[in-house]
Amino acid sequence: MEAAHAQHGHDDHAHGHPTGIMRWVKSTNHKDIGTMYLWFSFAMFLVGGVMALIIRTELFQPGLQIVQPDFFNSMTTYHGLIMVFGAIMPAFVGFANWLIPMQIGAPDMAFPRMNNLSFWLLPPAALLLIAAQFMPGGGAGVGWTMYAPLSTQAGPAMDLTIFAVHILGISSIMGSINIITTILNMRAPGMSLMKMPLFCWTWLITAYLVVAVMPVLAGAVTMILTDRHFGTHFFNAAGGGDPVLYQHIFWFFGHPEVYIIAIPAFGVVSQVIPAFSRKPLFGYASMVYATASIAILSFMVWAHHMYTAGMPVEAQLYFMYATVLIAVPTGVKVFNWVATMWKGSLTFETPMLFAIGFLFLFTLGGFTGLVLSITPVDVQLHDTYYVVAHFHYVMVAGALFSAFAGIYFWLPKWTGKMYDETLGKWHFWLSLVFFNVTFFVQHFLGLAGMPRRIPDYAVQFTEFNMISTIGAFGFGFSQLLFLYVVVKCIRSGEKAPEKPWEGADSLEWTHLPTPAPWHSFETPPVLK
Amino acid sequence: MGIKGIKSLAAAGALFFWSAATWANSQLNHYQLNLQTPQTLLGEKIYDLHTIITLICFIIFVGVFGFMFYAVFKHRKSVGHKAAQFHENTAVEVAWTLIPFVILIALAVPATGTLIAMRDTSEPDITIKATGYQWMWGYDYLKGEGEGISFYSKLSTPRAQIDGSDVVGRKANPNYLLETDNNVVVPVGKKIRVLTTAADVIHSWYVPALAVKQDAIPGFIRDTWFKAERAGIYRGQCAELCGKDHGFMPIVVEVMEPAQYSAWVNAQQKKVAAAKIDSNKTWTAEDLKAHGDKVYAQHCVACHQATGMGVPGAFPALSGSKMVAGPKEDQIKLVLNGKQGTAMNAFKHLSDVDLAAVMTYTRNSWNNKTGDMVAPAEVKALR
Amino acid sequence: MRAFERENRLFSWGILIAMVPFGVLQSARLKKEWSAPVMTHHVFESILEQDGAGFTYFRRHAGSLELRTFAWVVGSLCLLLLLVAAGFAAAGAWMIIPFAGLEATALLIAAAVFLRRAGDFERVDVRGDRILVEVRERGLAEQFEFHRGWARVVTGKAGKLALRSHGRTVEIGRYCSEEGRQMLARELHSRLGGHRA
Repeated sequence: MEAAHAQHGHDDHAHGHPTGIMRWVKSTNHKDIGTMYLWFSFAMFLVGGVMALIIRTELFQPGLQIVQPDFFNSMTTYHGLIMVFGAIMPAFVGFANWLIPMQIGAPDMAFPRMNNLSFWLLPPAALLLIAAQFMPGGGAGVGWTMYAPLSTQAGPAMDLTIFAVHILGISSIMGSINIITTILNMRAPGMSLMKMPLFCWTWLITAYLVVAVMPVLAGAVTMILTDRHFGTHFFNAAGGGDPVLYQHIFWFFGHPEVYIIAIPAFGVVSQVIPAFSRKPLFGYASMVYATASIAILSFMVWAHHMYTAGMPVEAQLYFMYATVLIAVPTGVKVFNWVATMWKGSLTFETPMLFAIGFLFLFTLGGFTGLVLSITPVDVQLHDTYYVVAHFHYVMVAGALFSAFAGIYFWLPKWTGKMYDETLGKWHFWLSLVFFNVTFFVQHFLGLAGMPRRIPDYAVQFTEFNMISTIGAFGFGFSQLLFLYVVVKCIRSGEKAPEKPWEGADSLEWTHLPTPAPWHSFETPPVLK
Repeated sequence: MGIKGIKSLAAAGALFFWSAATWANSQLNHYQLNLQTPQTLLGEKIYDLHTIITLICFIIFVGVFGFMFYAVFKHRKSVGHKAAQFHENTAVEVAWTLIPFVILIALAVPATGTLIAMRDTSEPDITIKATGYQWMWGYDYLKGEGEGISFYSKLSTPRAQIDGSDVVGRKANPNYLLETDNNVVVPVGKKIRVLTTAADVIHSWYVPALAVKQDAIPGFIRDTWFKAERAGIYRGQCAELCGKDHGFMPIVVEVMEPAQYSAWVNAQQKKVAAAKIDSNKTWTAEDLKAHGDKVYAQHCVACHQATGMGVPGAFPALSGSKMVAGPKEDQIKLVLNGKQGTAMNAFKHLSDVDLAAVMTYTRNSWNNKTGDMVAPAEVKALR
Repeated sequence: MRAFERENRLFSWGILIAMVPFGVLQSARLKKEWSAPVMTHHVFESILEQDGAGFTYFRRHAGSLELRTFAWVVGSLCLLLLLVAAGFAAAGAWMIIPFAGLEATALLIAAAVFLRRAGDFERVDVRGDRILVEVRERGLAEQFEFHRGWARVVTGKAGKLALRSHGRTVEIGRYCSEEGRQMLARELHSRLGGHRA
């Protein structure tokens, strides 16, 4: 027995785990998998970012300068797909993997092996999306929405794209089933649902949304595939199909998808703001209910993306009212965050700066969303740069800023080292300024009538486009600073104190050492 | 960084809005900050609706973030503020759920009225069908003054200005990418109903100043309407991604005084009459080839290129193609019906003469030297 | 145009075939490893009791899964999937049905796996000369009886613990943490060893 004890003393946490590359390939550890998700998403963020810069470079001035229209269309398509499915969604799944077991007092995810598989499906899918660029005829220039019948007449790149979407969908579904089961079944004794940190709540709701809508996306792209190759006529009017049906199906997936991205971002911000306000989150219960109502409403408003596609006026009215209604729970969330800061004891480390940046700019994106929800106004602005500006405020200043906030917030807990606060703040201010330079002016372009997804434009749009391009390059290069800050933290950061943020109060801060150990809670924590 | 950072942010913001305002005053055209000046009453309503919503949003924004920035400056740890520990307040929470609700209802009421007016396409004076093609628009005047007029409308900006070989020309062209060979002409003060449809993929008929945007769906007909209050030329673009030349299929609506419009209609109808006489004549191979050149330039050149070489991988070459130089029947069927799952669309909408001409042209151009001709009757037989 | 179509098919199939080795590798790995328990994927609760008469070690599943909550979540999801798929099928897009079905199946499998494990427990009861081991794992219950004089605690690979007597071996302390298992081993060891001496 003594011998056995000694033998297990020195490799306590590794249990003969493989090292080197096989550690990552075979890992079933939620922290390793979370790390892989985050690095993967950052790599995709850079790939999608380069595509964005190609788009912006072409749009620097009127005329076709560096790319041809087909390639331009392909860039807008894969920029969208890669950012949505390759960068933002995996980033938040990475957060979920790292944090949910720690925050509910569980040792790991419920299905560790499925967790491994759901990550390792992502790289082949990403390769398919990138390989699509090198197909004969180039990438499919159909937009990330892949509207039929444009997508049924696209080249072979479209097939690769469809397979990639399938694989990404399978990965998301497995991740979500894992998250739902983990949250429902693996909470430590005493951790009731209404005591969970809000981040866990937002992911429970998000995972529910993913499971509900992914089959719809899978069905939609499969029908495009069969229309392309197997002679079906789902979306072909000549064969009795309806192209608009595709849009209904796509947006029935697509609108909840927006919230699949936004809701975990709400969760991260709901952890960060109270920590730096040194004050509990205001209106916890109403936050949970607001998030759930946003999720439910997201199933009922899909056709507001299709006001110009033609539908009965009654349907347009219904979708307008339902969409406008989303402003109520969203408003509640914003008010709650502001009330959390109110009469707090605020400090402004990088995570808090990004959280405030999120709050400020996401709300702006929410307001342009409200403008767009009004059908007559939307008919003017639909498919113009106003919409492009609107969803980048929600996706970049919303989801991405919140992810940055989360990274800076949990980096000390994950690595046991502190990041460089000065450089972190530089990253924030550069991102904030350049983001607005890039996207604020796009509101004006859209109002003036510049359609989206065009490689060349009328001369009166020149000035704002130039400003936007300059901003885009600034924003892009600011993200290299982020990479530097993270790498510097991991390689040579100062040792983090046990509790770097005095206001943080979820289990990973209060019940686990810094850096977090290999297995989170082998025995459940004792909760008050 | 704290205070300093926020001060610099405030400075940057102030600079930004100041410069935005300056642009607005100095260069209205190039730094346009708002919707285009509406030319219809409905457009004005929409313009006002947009202004009201944006204003309400702005006021709420200032209110909410006024609180936030107050907290940011006054409730910070560095000024010694101690955190309160409240975390709920039912009255406040109910209030900020109900008040937005009321505001939203107040917004929805005028929006509803405007929307219903927008969708009321009844009793038009003139009905025009706009058909989207990759990549141009086709117009058919179906009802009202000008009935029977029909034409294609294609970008007229020279290629050299687009590809950069004539930058000077582009800079001197105020209507770069917003000009067509045939404008849609309508009379002022008349209700124009526009039916939209498409031959291949989805397009969208969008003229900002007239406050119309309606998707053109292949196989289906949608409609919209406008009634221009002032004569003038109003320019828009296709708004729905429709493939390679999506950015190059503008819409130009020329609104004329009624008398001028009648004159235009007369001129157009004479053209139609002239074309009718044309269709009765017997065509020689030479005539067909010459006419086919024009049809090719109108309908085929965007994909298959002037050289007949296509775009490798995307659009097949016609020059040296076995299909083009093969049996006539196969080629006629392909052009008539298109090929599902590819960008080759059905061209049934063209006349027998146009189709016969363009096929004769392709069979006897570039490396193709079949020496035969496709007669209009042969096309008709296979329809 | 014909050649174009052939390329199209070739590429689709090429990519599909290229992905097969990946799938095979991953699934082979999963099959190999699936049988070995991952120690950390359940929350367990253990009770160690001793009194004058004997010693009981009891460890049972302590998942926070309330059957009702879980049924509600899985049920509502399946219902939603069904409604959505049926709705779109009515509009002509029936191809959502198979995907919704697949996913509902995946959900139900996940539910079944958890429900089957929910009643798992392990009890080691030392009383007089008798050692009673009761194990219920993945829904299968087993009972073993040992004589205290003959049973030994043995340590296997990766710190696994077992009771052995007359060639019969029963694993104990299955889902314990490393420390928990060592404590149990010490506890049993002293009792068995004491008697043997």
